[in-house]
Amino acid sequence: MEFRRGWAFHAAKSRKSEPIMPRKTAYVADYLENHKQEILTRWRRAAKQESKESKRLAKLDDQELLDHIPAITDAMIAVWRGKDSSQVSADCARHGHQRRLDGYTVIDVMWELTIFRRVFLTVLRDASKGVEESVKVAGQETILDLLDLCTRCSVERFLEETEQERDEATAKATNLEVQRERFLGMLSHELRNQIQPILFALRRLHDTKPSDQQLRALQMIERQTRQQSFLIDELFDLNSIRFSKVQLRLTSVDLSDCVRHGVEANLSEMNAKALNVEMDFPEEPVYARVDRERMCQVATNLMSNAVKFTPNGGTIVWRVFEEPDAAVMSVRDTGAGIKEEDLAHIFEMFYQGEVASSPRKSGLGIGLTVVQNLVEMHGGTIEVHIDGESTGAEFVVRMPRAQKRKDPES
Amino acid sequence: MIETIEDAVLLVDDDEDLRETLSELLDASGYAVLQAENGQIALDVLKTTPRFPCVVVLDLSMPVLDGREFLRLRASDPILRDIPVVVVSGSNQPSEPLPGIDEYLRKPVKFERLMEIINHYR
Repeated sequence: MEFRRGWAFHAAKSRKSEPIMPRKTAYVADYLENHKQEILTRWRRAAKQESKESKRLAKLDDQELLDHIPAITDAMIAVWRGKDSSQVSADCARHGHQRRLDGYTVIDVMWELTIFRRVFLTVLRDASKGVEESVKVAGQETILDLLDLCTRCSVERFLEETEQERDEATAKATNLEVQRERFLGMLSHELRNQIQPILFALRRLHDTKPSDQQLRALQMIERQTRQQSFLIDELFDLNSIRFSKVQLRLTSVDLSDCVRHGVEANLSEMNAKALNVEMDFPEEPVYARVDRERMCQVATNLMSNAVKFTPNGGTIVWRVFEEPDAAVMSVRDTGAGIKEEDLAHIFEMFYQGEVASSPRKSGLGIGLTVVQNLVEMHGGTIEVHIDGESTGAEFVVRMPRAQKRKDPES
Repeated sequence: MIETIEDAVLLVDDDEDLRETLSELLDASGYAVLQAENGQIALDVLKTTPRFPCVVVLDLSMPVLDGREFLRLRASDPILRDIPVVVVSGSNQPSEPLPGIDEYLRKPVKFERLMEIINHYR
């Protein structure tokens, strides 16, 4: 922030040839000095009149309005006496700092200094009356440069501090995210570890020839434990997808296999609602280049979604087929369909539409978010079709095709 | 060559309840079960046992010597590295490969699924 083109500089350079100049500039400086109060009064008045333009200005009392303006004025007068402009820069930077604390926006700061500039120039015009034209022009140039410097220094400090504050906030937020991720990862790990012995112990109890009553209690514990395990999986998926931590192991996978897996994973819920499933698969496998486990998860989540929205005794239709550029699987339910206004939100996290019941029954509402993320991570696409309400919905997943031959590692 | 007890399994997990319940289930399925609560004890067991188990069921996060370290030490031992290892862990399969494992299962795993795999090494 160096001040180069100022009049003081010109004056110093040309002092030898025009020795009269310092006296004249001193005269202007004296005038400004004597009219300092007038500058400040005019500034306050103008600022108040124009406070419509800046909400902040309107709220300040006289003292607050002044802030560093007297100091800046003094510094500018000093420049007319041949001092360098560093004091102006320093005062203006402090001004920018203070205005930020006052809650100004950067526009407020610029607006305020625009008013100050107009007032100062008006008084300067009176001060330079009778002064030689060349001196007046050079003087005006100096003062314009100084006023620019003023704005630049104020705004620069203002922005520096704003950026610094933002960087600190970002760093803090990032740190919180990292901690959150670590916490969720640890939590789901611990919860899964605890479920394992429960399942083994239940399995052990099954072998002890329980009475009917005991068996029903066992089945209840099993059901609840499985549901809990499902929620933990969702918690973990939420964590890994949010932080893009999923690593894909791509092989050639028959999508029909994934669908079968997804249907089987939902068998008990399907039976409970007496749902029918039609599986329309070609005889030949439909190979996609995907991560088998993740694709099975996609099919499982889509099936779980279809089961949730299909009324008792309804039908769910799965199709797997090939397109020239894609391996496709689609599922159609005969549920209530999706409302037009819900359509835009169904892939959003925690969105449950109107079916929302307790997470204990229906999960956290992240199933479709997980599906969309996984599909897109593979370079695939997912679409949802509805034919108006109450005729069900169809989800179509298109994945990159793979060679006909299965990779050995799959 | 390594002498293998046809029906022994080494169970390495720091969760005592898990070791107990799974041991009972394996026992009921006709397996002898060796137990270790961490990788260090597992190595000690393998060094002192007169005969080797047909498979090691290994947890990853354990105190003292965890599953990864166990796998590393096993890989550098010409005798131990021939014993099949099935990892059963509460974490998703890590992206960096685990040396020399035969199977990765994420907890909670169904007993039937685990049995299917263990029976494979019988």
